[in-house]
Amino acid sequence: MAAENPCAEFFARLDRKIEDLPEPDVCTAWEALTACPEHSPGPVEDNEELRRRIIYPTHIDTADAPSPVCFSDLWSHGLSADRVEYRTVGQSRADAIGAIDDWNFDNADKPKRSLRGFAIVSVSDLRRLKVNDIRALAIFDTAMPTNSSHADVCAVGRMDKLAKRDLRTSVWHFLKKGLVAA
Amino acid sequence: MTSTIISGIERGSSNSSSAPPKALVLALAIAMAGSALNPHIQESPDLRIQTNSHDGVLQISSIGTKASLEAQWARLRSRLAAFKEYRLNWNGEGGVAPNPEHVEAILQALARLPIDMSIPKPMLSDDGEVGVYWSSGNAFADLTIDSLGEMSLYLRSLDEEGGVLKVLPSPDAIDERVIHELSQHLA
Repeated sequence: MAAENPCAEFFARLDRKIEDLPEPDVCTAWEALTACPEHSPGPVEDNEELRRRIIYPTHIDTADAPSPVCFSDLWSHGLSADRVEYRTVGQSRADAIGAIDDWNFDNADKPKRSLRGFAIVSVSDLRRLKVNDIRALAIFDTAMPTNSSHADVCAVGRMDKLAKRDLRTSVWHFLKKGLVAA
Repeated sequence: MTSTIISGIERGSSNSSSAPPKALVLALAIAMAGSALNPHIQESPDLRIQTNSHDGVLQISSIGTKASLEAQWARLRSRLAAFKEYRLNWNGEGGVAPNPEHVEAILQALARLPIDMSIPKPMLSDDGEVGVYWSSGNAFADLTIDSLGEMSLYLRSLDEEGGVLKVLPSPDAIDERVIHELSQHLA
């Protein structure tokens, strides 16, 4: 029997792997679902913007700019972002600083993290990206009780090395263009 | 005394002896303008300008003192070499440690580039892919070796949807033709 909300079930799994997502056309159907109906404002619309936190040193290169390889979450467990319309920048900042403080406390032996800023990116720009004429990214409403604006950006479909390089460079370019101070 | 040198690519692709006279005149003019505008350059004992006269088009990819360029390359090599010490979970999120042999291969590949080529930035992915990238205006390029040991060069104009990927069987594959193509792309 099919799951009642396969999207919600998939993102509820802590061990999820983005490579286990279904084919792009199924992902498109999942984009119309919501992970947490009691808290979510609804599926992510094309005319929305996403706010992605940029953290030092994880996402930063030697010139203090986002590195092209820092968004591999797209292929691993999903690139987390806030939906701008449903989360103020102050809330996003507080969320980020709280998570960073926790991480620094738990990883005292590693370089300290700090919030460098946010990247604002258009949902439609991301959804327009294609690989071999098939959509390359899906953006799911993954609202949580503590953050109703939460969304995940995920790579979908099979990609060869060139396609992955094209996609990561395009996403990096969009995020770099949309960089704002925290 | 300021000594201005118009050089060809020292370890790389082109031979400046074939540069058209107009290109040399233009390079000299730019060198002199740069000296006038920048006291640091004016005082430099060895202002080095790379000319690349392929297709009759003058390109200047990097301007600076030889010593400062060498220092920048040394910093890049040092940053990359530091990746050899990274271990599993280097980023606190399960990051795969880069293979030291792969880091060494990237260093060997970079050693084949001319000193006055644009200096790239290091990058390390959490899946162990290691390399460098260049970004200049709409021109983007990266040279990486993935966790399986495959080295490749990727060239992309950011105003276009896709790029070109060249698999390089070894660092020696960075030959004059590849260097010329990379230089042209970044110009």
